[in-house]
Amino acid sequence: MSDRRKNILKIIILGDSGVGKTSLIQRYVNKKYTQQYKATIGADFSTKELELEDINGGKATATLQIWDTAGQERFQSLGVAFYRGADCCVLVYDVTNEKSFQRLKTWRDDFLLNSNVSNPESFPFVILGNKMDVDDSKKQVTTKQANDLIIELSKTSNDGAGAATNGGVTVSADEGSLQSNKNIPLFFTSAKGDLNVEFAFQEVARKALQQNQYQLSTSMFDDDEDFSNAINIRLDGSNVDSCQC
Amino acid sequence: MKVIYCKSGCFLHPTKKLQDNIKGFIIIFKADLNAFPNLGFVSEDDISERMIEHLNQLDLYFIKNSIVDYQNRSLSSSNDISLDVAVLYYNISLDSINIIQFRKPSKFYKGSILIKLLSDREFVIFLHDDISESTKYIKNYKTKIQYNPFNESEIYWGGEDLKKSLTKLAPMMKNGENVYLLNSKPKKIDIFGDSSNTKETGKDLKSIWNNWESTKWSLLAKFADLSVKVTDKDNLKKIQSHENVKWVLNKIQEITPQESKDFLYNQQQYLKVWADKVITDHKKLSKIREFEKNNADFVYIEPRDSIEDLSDILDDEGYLKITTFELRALANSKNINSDIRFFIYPILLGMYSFDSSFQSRETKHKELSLQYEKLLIPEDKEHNFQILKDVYRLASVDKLFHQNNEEDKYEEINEEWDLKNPHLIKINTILQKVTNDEVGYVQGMSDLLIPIYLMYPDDEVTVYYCLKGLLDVIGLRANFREDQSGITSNLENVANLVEILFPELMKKLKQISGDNFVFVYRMILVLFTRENFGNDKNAGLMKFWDYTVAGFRKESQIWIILAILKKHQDIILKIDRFDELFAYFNGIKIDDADEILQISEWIFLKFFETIKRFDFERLKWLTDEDSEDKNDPLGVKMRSLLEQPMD
Repeated sequence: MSDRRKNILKIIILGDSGVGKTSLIQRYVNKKYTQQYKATIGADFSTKELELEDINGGKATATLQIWDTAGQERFQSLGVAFYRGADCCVLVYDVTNEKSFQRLKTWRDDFLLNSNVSNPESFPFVILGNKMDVDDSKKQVTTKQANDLIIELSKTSNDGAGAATNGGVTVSADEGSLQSNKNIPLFFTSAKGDLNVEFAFQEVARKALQQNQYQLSTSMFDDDEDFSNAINIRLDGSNVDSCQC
Repeated sequence: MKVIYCKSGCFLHPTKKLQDNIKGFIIIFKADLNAFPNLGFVSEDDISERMIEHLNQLDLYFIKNSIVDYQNRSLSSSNDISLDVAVLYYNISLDSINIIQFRKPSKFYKGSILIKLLSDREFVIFLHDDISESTKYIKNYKTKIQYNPFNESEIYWGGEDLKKSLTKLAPMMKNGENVYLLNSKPKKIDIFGDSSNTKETGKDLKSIWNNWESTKWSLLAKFADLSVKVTDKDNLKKIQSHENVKWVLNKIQEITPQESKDFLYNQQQYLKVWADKVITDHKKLSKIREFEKNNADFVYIEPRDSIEDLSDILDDEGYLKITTFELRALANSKNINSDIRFFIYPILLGMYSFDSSFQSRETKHKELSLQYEKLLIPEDKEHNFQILKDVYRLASVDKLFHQNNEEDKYEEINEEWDLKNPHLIKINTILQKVTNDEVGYVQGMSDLLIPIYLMYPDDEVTVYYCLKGLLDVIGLRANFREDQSGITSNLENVANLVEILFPELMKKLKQISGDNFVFVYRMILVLFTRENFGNDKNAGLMKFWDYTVAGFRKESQIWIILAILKKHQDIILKIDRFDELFAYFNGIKIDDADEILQISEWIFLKFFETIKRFDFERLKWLTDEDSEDKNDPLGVKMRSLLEQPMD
């Protein structure tokens, strides 16, 4: 692996237009919220440095590279160019827009189709229900509906490596996560009200790191030079480059 | 007699008096199936009512020549109504015609065709578009349906479908503004038995030979068109034996002096092989690259000239002082101020005709306002919601669109996608109306609307028709198609041109998987509206827009993209990863639009010169029996980038 990249974790954010993908990213990366984001055309990405706990308990610094995408279905075919090498996919819906919720499954399937990930069964997804700040009367998606969907989506992805490594995670209910023993974590967020965003992205980063290391472990035996995304996370303290190639 | 084409609403004007006009039909016919076609004029006075009715039906029948999917009207009267050659007012063999000039209608005159025979005799037939049913039908169709801005039919008039029909029968060579050459060598003239005038043409031949250099390209292009029509790629023999192809080859033979036969032989070989089209092959493009020899680099000296005064291009009554072609060239290569832009956009974008005046534009505006009112909005709720969501998010684009007063009251707005600003409400309606078709609304269209809206904030109708022109006349709607065909084609052309002109850059892009050029996708889709032009955003952006709206360069955006790539080449060469490249392009700053546009034109010429050199070189390979390089590696699509507007 001659391409000694920085430790980059690639995150793809998908969801219908107007659900708040750009706002969530801006809230997380730049700690700000405005209503001034125009519809995203094509794609864009932001980066953020963070420190993570590695599966072995060591500390790792990584750069999250968060790819923002256009929300209209029409641009799906462009995804092939951006999805490649993703480590985690975040699906966003708007709690005041049931349609955006119903389409989550389609977004997930399209992602798996276009990204060509090597482990579609266990590839990590995180679901965010955004705009939790709005009045309850305007919410169209109930918590139960959301839970049912998670169960359904988790069933269709047959627990593989992902489940094995993330079964131990527990999140307290007051932090808004509905993840229990399910494969796909769900967070209720508000980019505007700064609710749960930081927390959700930490989980995203953690999942991405797992995926990244999983990829690394499988590609060690792979001669595919091109698979430059299976980069290695340098462990602080140990100072060992786990990629010995 | 077999009638191949018939056109109603044709007139002879023997005197200046209106009452002396002779009304009739232009027909093209063959005396029998194997005969060479003739062009005739038949006066209504010389034929029966029944025959007039029959010819009027034929007029409508031949609309199919201009509109491919036209539902043929059945001919109710039997086909065997025979027209006696003797009643023809004029009867001209296409073989005896030297040139035909198609004279477009102007503010004072009806359109007409001037036919000059090899015997130097001239005939003029006027085309009264307003009473020709077929012309009216086609015109109506063309204004409704999307069409190619570089097609000669841009400002459609009756001469266009006549030209089209003639082209099918006898390939014509463009020989100047609206002038087409059919035959150049004296032949026996067969008109009213008049075959006297057979001197001349020593001079003509010479001038044609001098013109050869300039006309050759259009002739070659014509040949390419023909061969595309008649062939599949493996069927060279069939092409060569095709009537039209033989005709072109014979024409080349005829217009060239004896001493140039050798050159001509090469040329013919070249043509024959050019006919054998293949899809552009990337590997083969590298052969063309060898002919990219112009080592001189672009040097930026000063901004482009500016046209400041509207009266430079407009007379007192509001008529354009310059031709369509000149107007396009001007918007393409000079800086224009906002007054001029305000005036010419609706013309270039097809809302008003090029020969309109203040008065006629005012009338047209009223007419279009009524039409606009009647336009339907799409019924699909999801579709309209998609528009609403994007329009809502335009609020930050300009002061004009702010949703509430300076004090930002988050609680009162947002989350309900509620439009309070009257401009946004208008924009929402315009977008709904302009997307009520099979492509529908796609994100990015709202971006295209903004610069136009800011030019005409109080004129919803003009905004609508200009946006429609941008989508359908300039052709940007293709970029929004579901199958991505438009944008993919743009990106492919960019890739091919970089491969030929900037091989070093292409090598780098391939290394970092940037050769799909998705990093310029946004620039093409929303026509640079999301780019950073520094302090004076609008001035820079509008220069790019003028270049596109001018309609002077085919796929204008790709030349701008190439210029941006060229300008930033040194930086790109240092980038190691696709994501870095992507980030760099998403944040790229365009400091000087003038410079970029000059580079665009420089690159266009560089490409043009390269292809010219390449084509001449290919002649050698083609005469070499052993050579395997008989196909044109460039391909039709890339070649068409060199076309210029026909008007």
